[in-house]
Parts: sequence; C-alpha cells; structure tokens
Amino acid sequence: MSEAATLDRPAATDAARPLVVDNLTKHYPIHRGILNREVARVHAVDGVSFDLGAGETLGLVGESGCGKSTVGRCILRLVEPTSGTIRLGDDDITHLDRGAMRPHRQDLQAIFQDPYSSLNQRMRAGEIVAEPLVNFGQPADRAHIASLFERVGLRPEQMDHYPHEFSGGQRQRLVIAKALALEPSVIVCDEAVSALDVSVQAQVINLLTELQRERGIAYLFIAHDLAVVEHISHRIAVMYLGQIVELAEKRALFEDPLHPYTRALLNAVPIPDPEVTRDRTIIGGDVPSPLNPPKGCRFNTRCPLAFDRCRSEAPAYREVKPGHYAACHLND
Amino acid sequence: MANPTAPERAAPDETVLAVEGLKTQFFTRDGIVRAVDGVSFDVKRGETVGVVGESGSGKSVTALSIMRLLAKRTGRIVEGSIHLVDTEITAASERKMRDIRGNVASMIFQEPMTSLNPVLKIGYQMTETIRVHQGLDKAAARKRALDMLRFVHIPEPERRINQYPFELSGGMRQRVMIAMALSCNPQLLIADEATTALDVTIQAQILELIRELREKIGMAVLMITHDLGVVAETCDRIVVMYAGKVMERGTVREVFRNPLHPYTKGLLASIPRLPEPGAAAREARGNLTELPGFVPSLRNVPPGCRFAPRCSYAVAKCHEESPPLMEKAPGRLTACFEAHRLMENAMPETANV
Ligand SMILES: Nc1ncnc2c1ncn2[C@@H]1O[C@H](COP(=O)(O)OP(=O)(O)OP(=O)(O)O)[C@@H](O)[C@H]1O
Ligand SMILES: Nc1ncnc2c1ncn2[C@@H]1O[C@H](COP(=O)(O)OP(=O)(O)OP(=O)(O)O)[C@@H](O)[C@H]1O
Ligand SMILES: [Mg+2]
Ligand SMILES: [Mg+2]
Repeated sequence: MSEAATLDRPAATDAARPLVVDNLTKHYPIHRGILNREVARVHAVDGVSFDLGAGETLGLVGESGCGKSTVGRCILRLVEPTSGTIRLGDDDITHLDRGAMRPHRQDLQAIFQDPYSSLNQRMRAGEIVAEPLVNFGQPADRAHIASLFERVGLRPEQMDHYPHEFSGGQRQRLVIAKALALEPSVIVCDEAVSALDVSVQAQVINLLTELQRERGIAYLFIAHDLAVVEHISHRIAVMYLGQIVELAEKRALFEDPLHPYTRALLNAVPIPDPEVTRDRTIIGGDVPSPLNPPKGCRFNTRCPLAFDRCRSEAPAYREVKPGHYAACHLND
Repeated sequence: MANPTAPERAAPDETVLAVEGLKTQFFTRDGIVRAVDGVSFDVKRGETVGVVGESGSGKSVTALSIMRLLAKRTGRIVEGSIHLVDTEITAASERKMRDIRGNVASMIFQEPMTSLNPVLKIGYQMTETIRVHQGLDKAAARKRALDMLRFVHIPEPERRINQYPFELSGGMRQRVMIAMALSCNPQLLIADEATTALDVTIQAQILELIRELREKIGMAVLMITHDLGVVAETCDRIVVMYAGKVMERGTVREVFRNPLHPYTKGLLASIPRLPEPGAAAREARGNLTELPGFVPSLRNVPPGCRFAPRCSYAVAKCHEESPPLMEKAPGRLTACFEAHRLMENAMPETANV
C-alpha cells in the first residue's frame, strides 16, 4: 500500500526539488548571406517553467519540433539557453561552462533514444559502465560493476562483451546502468524507450520505475508516446510550439484537461481496444513554423474553440486549479 | 468522384490478395536469413487487414515480396504463391510487374522523403507517374494530379503542385504519397508504417483519410504497423507475425478479446494504455506485464516454435516441433500447440454467448 502511494505521489514535492526551471527560453538564430547576418530566429523554447520533486517523474509531451528535446538539452548544458534559469539542487547551473559543470554531472544524467550512438563501440560493456566512476575517482571494482549489471537485468559475464553483441533493449539497459553508476538525483530521459519493441519497452519502463522507487531518482521523461508517458509519470506537461500549454497531476490532466490542445492530443491517440468507439474530433492543419509563431495564442490557428481574443492576446500561463496550470483564455 | 477511369474491379467479397505458404530468404555472406517462413493470409475487396509484429518479424519483407521489390541480388521468394487479383506474382515477368505496381497495387512507406525525389517538384513527380501508367497527355495528367491532391485534402493544390518535397510538412508529404499511390486506382494499397513517423494529430488525419478513401473506392488495404492502437482503430482482420511466421490470424475484435496465441496475449498485455477519456481515475499503476527475453535471430533458427524460448505456456513438444497454423474456431487461426489453454481461460466470459 505504502509503496503504491509513493509511486503515485512523490514523497516531498516541496521540501526537495532537485530541479527548478524558470522561464527558460532558447532561440536559435538563423544566419544568411556574406555578412552572416541574423535573418530569423527559431523560437524553439519560449518561457518554460516547471520543477521536479525528488523521486518524481515529470512527463514532457507534445508534437515533433515543439521543443521537448531543447528543454532537456538546455538542462543538460548541451545547448546554451537564451534566457531563464535552471537550478539543480541549490545551484544555478544556467550558464556554467564545461569545467564548472563537471561536479554537477554526478547529479544529473541522461538517457537518450538511440543507445547505439551513445555507447563507445570499442569499449567493453563493463568499461562503459565503469567510466563515469573512474572519471570521478570513485571505486569501480568489478564486483561493484557486476552488481550494477545485475540490477539492470544484465548478466555479469556480459561485462566483457562489446555493444554490438547486445540487443536494442540490452543496450538501453547498459545506458541505464551507466547513468545509475554515479547515483544521480535527476535523469533526463529523452525518448528513452521510443526505439524499443513493445515487449522490450515494457521491461525497460518497469526497470526505470523500480529504480526510482528504490533510489528516489527524479526523471524528466520526454517522449511523444502519450500512453508510455501516462504510465510512467506523476505529473505531465504538454508543450506546443515552444511553450507549456498545460501542466498537472496526471489524473487531473486526463480527467479534466483544461487546454483544447491537450484534449486534441488525447483524442488523437489510437486506442488498442476495438470495442472502444469514441468521438473522433480530429483537429486539422499542421503545427505552424517556430520561425514565425502565430500572434496571440500559438494554438489559435488549429483550435476549434478560438475566438477573437485568442488571435490578438497570448493567454497567461497560470494556476487555474491547485497544482493545475494552463494557458487558455477559456479558463478566465 | 475523383476516379473517373476506374478499371474493371474485383467484385465485392472477392479476394484481392491471397498469400499462400510464402517463404522469402536473403542469401548473405553470413548465411541464409529466413525472413519470411511460410506466411499465409488474404485480403478481400474493401477490407483492411493489419499485419503486426515486432521489429524484424518479416512484415516489410512480406510487403516487398508482394510488390516484388526485394533486394535484387540477395533476396528471393523460394516457396509459396502470391495471387494478386488475376496474376500469380511469383511467376510474373518484370514487365508485368511494372504494370502491376501502381495500377493494381501501390505501396506507401514510413518516410515519404525517401520515396519522393527531393530535387523534383511534386507536380512533375505526380504527372510522370500518371503518364507512364495511364498514357495520359501532359495536360490531362496535370488535371488528374490536381484532382488527386484535392482528393487527399491538400489545401491550395495549385500552389503545392509547384513546390519541392522539402517545402511540405511531414503530414502533407504523406498525403502527396497517398495521392500518388492512388492516382492509378490500385485495388490494393499497402501501407508500411505509413503513419509511424507522424505526430498523433497528423496520424489521426491520415488514418481518417485512408478510411474515407477505402469507403469511397472500395480498395483493399494491407496495413503494416507495430502499433496495436492503429490496428484496433482501422483494421477488420489482423495477422500477427513473429520471427518470420504467422502466430495468429482472426478478426480484430476476436483476437483482441481472446488472443489464442501466447505471443499475442503477451503483446497485448505489455502495452501501456491510456485511461478512457472522461473515465474515472485509475488506481496507481503497477508494473507492466513483461515478455521476457527478446526476438531471436533469423539466421540459425532452432527447431520448434520460434516463440517457445520466451513462452510461459511452452511444453517439451514446443521446443522440438514447429506448430502449424491451424483453425481452432471459425476464422480463428493460431500456430500454438497449447492454444486450448488460452481458449479455456476465456470460457467463463463467452459461455453464455
Ligand atoms: N541547432 C538548431 N538550430 C536551429 N534550430 C533548431 C536546432 N535544434 C532544434 N531546432 C529547432 O527547434 C525546434 C524544437 O526542436 P526540438 O528538437 O526541441 O523538438 P522536439 O520537441 O524534441 O521534437 P521531436 O519530438 O521531433 O524530437 C524545432 O523547430 C527544431 O527544428
Ligand atoms: N536486404 C536484406 N538482407 C538481409 N536480411 C534482410 C534484408 N532485409 C530484411 N532482412 C531481414 O529480414 C528480417 C525481416 O525484416 P523486415 O524488414 O521484414 O522486418 P519488419 O517486420 O518490417 O520490422 P520493422 O518493424 O523493424 O520494420 C529481419 O531479420 C531483417 O534483418
Ligand atoms: Mg526530441
Ligand atoms: Mg518494416
């Protein structure tokens, strides 16, 4: 009982917030011509704020190009934010350079979609997992690495194998073992299970959930598959064209979505049950270009409920109900 | 109707495609890959049949065999037959195949960017296809291309026809691919992961389009996907593949309600599911059901059922003999020696039907 309770609600959302992102913005300038003048800016992320509690999973969903990975990459310090702040524990890491960021790496790890490209093909699996420990001068004896292997469901003798000898799901386990080695408090998972077959995907999702329960790791779980995100997350943030349009506890989000885009997204997911017949109101059109996002509410060009105000005035992102944030004029 | 030149079509209820005992293999330096190993199914006029299975199960190779588009030097159909309307594909000449592709059967792929030529305008690519296959002149082919773009709900077709593929969004490119695929009135459309790379809202639009077109022109659709949600929402019947073999076949409703193969059962149990919209809150989620292990290699195939090493129902026989696909109930086929145990499990629910 108590275990289920901790899974569903993080232990201490307020007391321990290992990650706080405030008003994060990332614009990619586009340069043209011999003078290399800036001719346009991709509004990849525009004023995104959220926090992450210890042992909590925050899901980040939205359509391709809405800025999910850019948020993750800013947090990981792989791209330089245009403005805003990122706090890891008590420290502002927004503009730290490589050297200054180094001590924080122990606390902040990443798992990406393609395990193949994130593993050094010429190193043995055991060396790959030991590498971060060695880098940080921590004990990396074989017995310790073997225990990490066992924890992620790999056999200790596989420590001597090379990445190409592993299946896709096993490679992702290897990446997880490596991310775990330094006992981070936050892991950014960017499409971490998206490339896996469904039967293997279930194995990896279960592993991530168990590790969280055991070690209180917080996940920022970025994915486009809503069913996966719904399964693994405690709270979910929905992004559209560089902005969070809605953020809530997952139950509230599914039972009572407050943004028309969230509703459209939930409606569009194919349900694997032929007995379910539902109202298929499909929104038309495509996501507009982030080079030149629409005036007013960015969703107004596709929103079935848009009215005049939506086309001129951007709705404020605010707490509509306790813990339930949305940016839509209809909630005024 | 945007298909004024519809040729003689298969009558209702008529089988458009019948695949029988198909075996397709690749002869590589490291040995023979038994990619498709005795696959049988059929598709009737106006029907959508889904082919599902995990990566490497042989879905695409089955489709490429039907279109005879296998890798030339290594891939070969070694056994079985493919009957498409009135042609035996496995014995057809290359010339006959060129006629069939586009005119009788068309295929759309996951990434339209790779099947569209990036340096040629949309309009040119479409009219060339139409002229080659239908012998229309330039003006007539252009008119037909515009009709087809309108047919798949592309806004401003006169402008789009003069654009290059990169100027279109992913969803728009997939619509163009569908327009091209349908421009010669095929009787069979093969969609191989056609919506996998698209966003869910765009996927919903494309699936709706395929449904609408199927109803309007009564074509048969072979929908290849790994997404069981897509199958549940668009298909009439389903073919479940695993490691080159058909594990189970039946109507989508029955297979989802009472899978008769442990693999299908495991697959259905392992996918996370969204709560029904508006339904009461679900309790905190436990673990997903896992299928242990992973998909086997197709090079050195051991005897017995290919799923046996991962199967919790497996008995000694399963490791020795390959179970044939057998009809266990009307329209319900499964390749499992232990299927009766799955049926019995379902008895209480179906006893009073
Ligand atoms: N280095 C870059 N230079 C210019 N634009 C970029 C760069 N990286 C990303 N973008 C743009 O920023 C926007 C957000 O991209 P991002 O990768 O964050 O989206 P995403 O939500 O992760 O999408 P996906 O679901 O496809 O992974 C997109 O329009 C993308 O084209
Ligand atoms: N040209 C080829 N040469 C050798 N082997 C091949 C070739 N094409 C496919 N195969 C093998 O045939 C098997 C079936 O592949 P296929 O592409 O049909 O799988 P699939 O079910 O479509 O998978 P996915 O869901 O990943 O698309 C795989 O083991 C694959 O490696
Ligand atoms: Mg991304
Ligand atoms: Mg394929």
